[in-house]
Amino acid sequence: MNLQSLYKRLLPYSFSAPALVLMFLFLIGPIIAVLFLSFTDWQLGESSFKLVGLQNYRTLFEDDLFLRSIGNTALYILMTVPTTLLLGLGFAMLILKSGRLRSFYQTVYFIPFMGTAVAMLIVWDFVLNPSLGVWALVAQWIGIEPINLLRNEMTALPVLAFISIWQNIGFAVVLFMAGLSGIPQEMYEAGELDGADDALSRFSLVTWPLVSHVTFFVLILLTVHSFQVFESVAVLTRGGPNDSTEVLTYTMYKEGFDFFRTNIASAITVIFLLGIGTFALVKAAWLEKKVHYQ
Amino acid sequence: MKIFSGIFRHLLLLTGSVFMLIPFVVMLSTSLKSQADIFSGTFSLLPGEWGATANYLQVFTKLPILDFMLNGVIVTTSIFLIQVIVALPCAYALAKFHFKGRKLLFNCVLWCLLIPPQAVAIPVFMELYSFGMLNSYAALIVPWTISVLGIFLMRQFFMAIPDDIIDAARMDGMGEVSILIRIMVPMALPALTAFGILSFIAHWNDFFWPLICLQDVKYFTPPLGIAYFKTDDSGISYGPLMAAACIITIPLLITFLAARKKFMQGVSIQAGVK
Amino acid sequence: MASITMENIGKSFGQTDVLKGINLNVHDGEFISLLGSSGCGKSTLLRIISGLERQSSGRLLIGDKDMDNVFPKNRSVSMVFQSYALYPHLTVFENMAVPLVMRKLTRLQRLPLVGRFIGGTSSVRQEMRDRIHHLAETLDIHTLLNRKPAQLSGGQRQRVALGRAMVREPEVFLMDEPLSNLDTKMRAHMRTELAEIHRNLGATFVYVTHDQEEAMTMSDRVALMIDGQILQVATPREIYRSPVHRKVAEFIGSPRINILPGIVTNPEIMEVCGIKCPAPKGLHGKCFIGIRPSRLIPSEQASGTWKARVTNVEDLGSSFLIHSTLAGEVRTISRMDSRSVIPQVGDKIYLKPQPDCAMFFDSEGWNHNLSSERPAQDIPVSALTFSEESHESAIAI
Ligand SMILES: Nc1ncnc2c1ncn2[C@@H]1O[C@H](COP(=O)(O)OP(=O)(O)OP(=O)(O)O)[C@@H](O)[C@H]1O
Ligand SMILES: [Mg+2]
Repeated sequence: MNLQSLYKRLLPYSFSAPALVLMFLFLIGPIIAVLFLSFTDWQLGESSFKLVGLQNYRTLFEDDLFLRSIGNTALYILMTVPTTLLLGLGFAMLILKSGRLRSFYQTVYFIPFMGTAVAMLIVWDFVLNPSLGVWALVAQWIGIEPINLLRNEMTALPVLAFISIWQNIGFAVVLFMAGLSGIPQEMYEAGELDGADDALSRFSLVTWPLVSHVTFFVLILLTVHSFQVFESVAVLTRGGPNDSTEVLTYTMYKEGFDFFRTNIASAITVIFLLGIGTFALVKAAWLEKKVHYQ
Repeated sequence: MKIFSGIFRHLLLLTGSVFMLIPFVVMLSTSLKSQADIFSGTFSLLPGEWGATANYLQVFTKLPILDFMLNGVIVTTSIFLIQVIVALPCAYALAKFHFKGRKLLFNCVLWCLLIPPQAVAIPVFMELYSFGMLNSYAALIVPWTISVLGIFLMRQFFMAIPDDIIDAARMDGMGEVSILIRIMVPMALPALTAFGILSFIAHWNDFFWPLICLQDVKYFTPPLGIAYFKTDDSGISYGPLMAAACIITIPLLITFLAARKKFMQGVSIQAGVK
Repeated sequence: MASITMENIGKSFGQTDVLKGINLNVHDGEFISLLGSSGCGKSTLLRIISGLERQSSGRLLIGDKDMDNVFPKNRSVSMVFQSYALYPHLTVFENMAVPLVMRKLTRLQRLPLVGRFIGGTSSVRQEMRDRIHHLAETLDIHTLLNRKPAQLSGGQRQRVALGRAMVREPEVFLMDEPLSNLDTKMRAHMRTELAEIHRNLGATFVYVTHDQEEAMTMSDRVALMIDGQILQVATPREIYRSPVHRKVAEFIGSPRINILPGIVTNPEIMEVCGIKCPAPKGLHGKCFIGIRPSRLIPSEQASGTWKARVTNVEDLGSSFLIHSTLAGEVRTISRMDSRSVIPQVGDKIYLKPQPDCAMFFDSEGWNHNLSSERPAQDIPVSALTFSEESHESAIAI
């Protein structure tokens, strides 16, 4: 074997070896492990285990709390994603034509995304405080009794969704603005010649179709993001009141790291993965497509 | 008509801006108020009675908040540095070498992009437990040293660098490592910055993982630290709590404002929009 | 010193054979061009000489030394790339310094900041600076040393790339279509400049191009490559006048040579597009004759000439190109002096080949007049190299 070609042949392997090893240790291996554990009865600290087939899954689907958790997660996604998307697109369109204040607005709308998330949640907790916060003031203005929004079964989850929307609008705005500023001015002029001279027909003829790929991707990103909601529940409501904010990741966290029922937590993880999988798959396919088109 | 719609546009945008900024304003103003003022029953923007000194003093004396910040810095920079050291050579190999298994490796990277961090928490926890590494800086850093997003983004950028430049560097006498450090990295600096920003945002804000793997307050990162402060003080002293929130949020916001364009670019690069 | 010897070099990428047994001797100090159409393997051969790629089979010697296991940096070879391949993040000066830094300084000395304090660094650096400044002056780029490549014009980038290749004073220069990104005027200018640089340096130049004009004007010898094989290596004059193969004749010369199909009916008599003419000895069966456009010109005579119809006339200023169709199907081109009477499109003309100028190719395309020098069939085509001046075919038609 020639020295030079040996060197050339081995080089890429040695370059990718560290990444590959770490990928196996912290991504691929763990995923396989989770899958396996979800079919066993193993719990943290035990020395032996046996295979139990689908037992864990059966337990889960007979558990009201878990079903509630799935429902809440779905509800949360439904409340956050479309709203963030539409508000993001709307504000992006407004900001794009706002002249000199454009970068000011863009920055302001992006700031919530940049604040340390947990710190901002704690601030929201104070803002929503029924006797001390801004919420008390607002309720007084509109003349209603300031209820404790985070301690109310009906309002807790919508309030968490509301905070998430506040946090992520800026993200959507930035992505939409990147997409919108990619639309050439000629397209609007061509549209105008075709008779689209009012705002609504301009939007439906030019803006919406040309920004639809961004819309689609923002939709996927937001969905994946909302699926993973954890911090706000852990910091603000701990799943309560009355399990009304119990979501998948939080249930998984409790089972895995509070009750140490590793098998059940693993089964929840697998279900979580299945749920998020389709969206993540679309996201990865999108990114890969980007590679082919570059 | 035009003027009218312009006014309407700015009216809408300003309302939105107020809504976006309210929590920050409340945070700052409350951190300046005395306990009595906060509990006076009505909320006001400007402090009626100043308590700034007391609030901030209490944060610094009761809470090792500077240690939390330092932990945050240590953890995020170590994570980023190791991520770069691991991802760059791999991205270079994927972008510029033909070798058996390259496709497979790249597919692995793409599949790993699908994995949300919560999904691997249990086994990674067990791994760290069996190495006796829980409750340490290592526990915070090691699981995140592999960033498939980093590999992916850097590979994408490296692909765009012409092969001729790499060949020229070889002719000029550079080894592959030199090429990576002296040619590829400087040329891909914008992508590296964007990736750095993404990595920083993700790990500075991370709450889930530190919550799982840490017990010792000494290793707490800012999010965990402030959450700990909240439960610890049972929510009564809002002044110091808001002061703590200010302390960990404001440096970040200043950094963001200073490099606004770069941050937004970084975020849109991740989405493949830019 | 730095001759290059290639012995039966082959290269395949997976299933495809890109180079099929290349044999070529490049003499020390020679300017040789590798000429061939796109995709024929010129760059691949150049990359093998440079060490960027390794041959699948065969041997490569530079200055009598086998180059196996010799990495590019250890060969006394530099390369100029078509895209110039300048480092965009470095200034012109830094670009030119890279080859020196990588060779003259140790790993330790190269370190930023620290390296400065290691013994000898500053004197070496001073020497490098002097050399670069001197070279920049001869290349007329000394005013650009602090600019980045993006701030340079194409011609200037070209010079910087040359400077980077020259700065370490290699014995061999490899150039891969270095002028193809320049405009016509700049290209002509750089051509003379390159030739001058070659004369001054006395180094060996291997120059890849698909532009025959470049190859013919600058080189001592031209190696014509087709499909991964070298068909002929000869001086520009010889390769034009005595191509060994029909493909060589077709490649060299602009406009393209006229190829007319013929058939030898009786010994020494052949029929070409309806005209009988004498055939050289030994030629039989199907064959082709080749006539350069400047030698196939209209005449008054009707006998012994081809009847043709003019399909297009191109005015090149100093001359005219007459496109015509002969015997209804064969297209020909004639080059006429602008002072002669120029036929119009649609005219019927008689085409008469000038005496002494036809080349005869046998049914496989080999030049019949050179067939005595042709080796047996099973030897690879590329083994053919003709160095002696061969005789022109002298036949009157
Ligand atoms: N790394 C590679 N893998 C597979 N095939 C290759 C590779 N490099 C070159 N080839 C193939 O080898 C053939 C010769 O390529 P080469 O670049 O040497 O051509 P060339 O003569 O320089 O052409 P051009 O004038 O267009 O530069 C081409 O068909 C090309 O597709
Ligand atoms: Mg080429």
